Amino acid sequence: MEEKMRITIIEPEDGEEDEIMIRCRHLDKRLLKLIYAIKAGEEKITVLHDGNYFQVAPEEIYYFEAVDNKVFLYLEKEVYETKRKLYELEQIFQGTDFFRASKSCIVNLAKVKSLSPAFNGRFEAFMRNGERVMISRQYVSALKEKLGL
Amino acid sequence: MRRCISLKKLRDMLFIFGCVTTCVLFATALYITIFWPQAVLGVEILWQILSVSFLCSVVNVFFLEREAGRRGMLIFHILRYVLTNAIVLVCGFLFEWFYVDNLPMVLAMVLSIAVVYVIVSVAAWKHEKQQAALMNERLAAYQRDGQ
Repeated sequence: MEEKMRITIIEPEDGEEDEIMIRCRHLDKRLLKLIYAIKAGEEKITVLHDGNYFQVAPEEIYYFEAVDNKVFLYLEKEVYETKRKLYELEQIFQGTDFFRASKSCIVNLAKVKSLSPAFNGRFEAFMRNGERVMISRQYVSALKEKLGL
Repeated sequence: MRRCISLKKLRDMLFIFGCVTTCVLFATALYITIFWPQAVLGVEILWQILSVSFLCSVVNVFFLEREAGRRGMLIFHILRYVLTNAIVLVCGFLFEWFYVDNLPMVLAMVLSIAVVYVIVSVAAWKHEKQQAALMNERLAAYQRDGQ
């Protein structure tokens, strides 16, 4: 049974930095998820598009895919390239909604509409933008664990 | 993590082995009733069934571990089926389950393999469907809690 958490927002004094402080007896799963979400939310991904660099918030990303040593991130309709490696992204978004779906893909679970079995113990993720992403057999256990199965 | 993967592999293999052995037992019972109704069988038939089931399970688990695109998976499926046929036919020949010059016997063997293969594949598919339904339930809860 998780205890109810009180949320207090204190306005900092002039000249003080914004700060998030967590007062708790122990870090449970719910708190860890919250901390990871805050950290990941701050971590915007720099992308390259038409020779220009700009930043994308993680909650806009549907999935990352590595193709021919390049990493692309897929939003609802747009596709951008990022200079980050897939393993770096996996580390950055560890403990968040993102999960490794295959050797070449990291998927945002918040953007998955449903899951369906594919042949040989693989699963297919139907994304909210209509795309489909294959989940390799070897990553299915980690996904089940993430979903609490 | 590595240990978890090995345990999962073992669990998959036991699942396939259980399905294959059950189906092979039914197919053998049917086959013996049709082609060898007067036969008096020794205990070795049980070991033969278990050996064939084990070999088929090993081959199937080996192919389950492979990753490929849609076309590659189709090729793996065909290879899996051909290898399963080869194992059962070679073992059947060595264990003298049939005569190679008796066409109905050989055809019955091939048909039995096809039926067992389809039943095991359907069982595995149903099992995965159940898993997917459970995962979708949890996914909905995960997304609801996260918002």
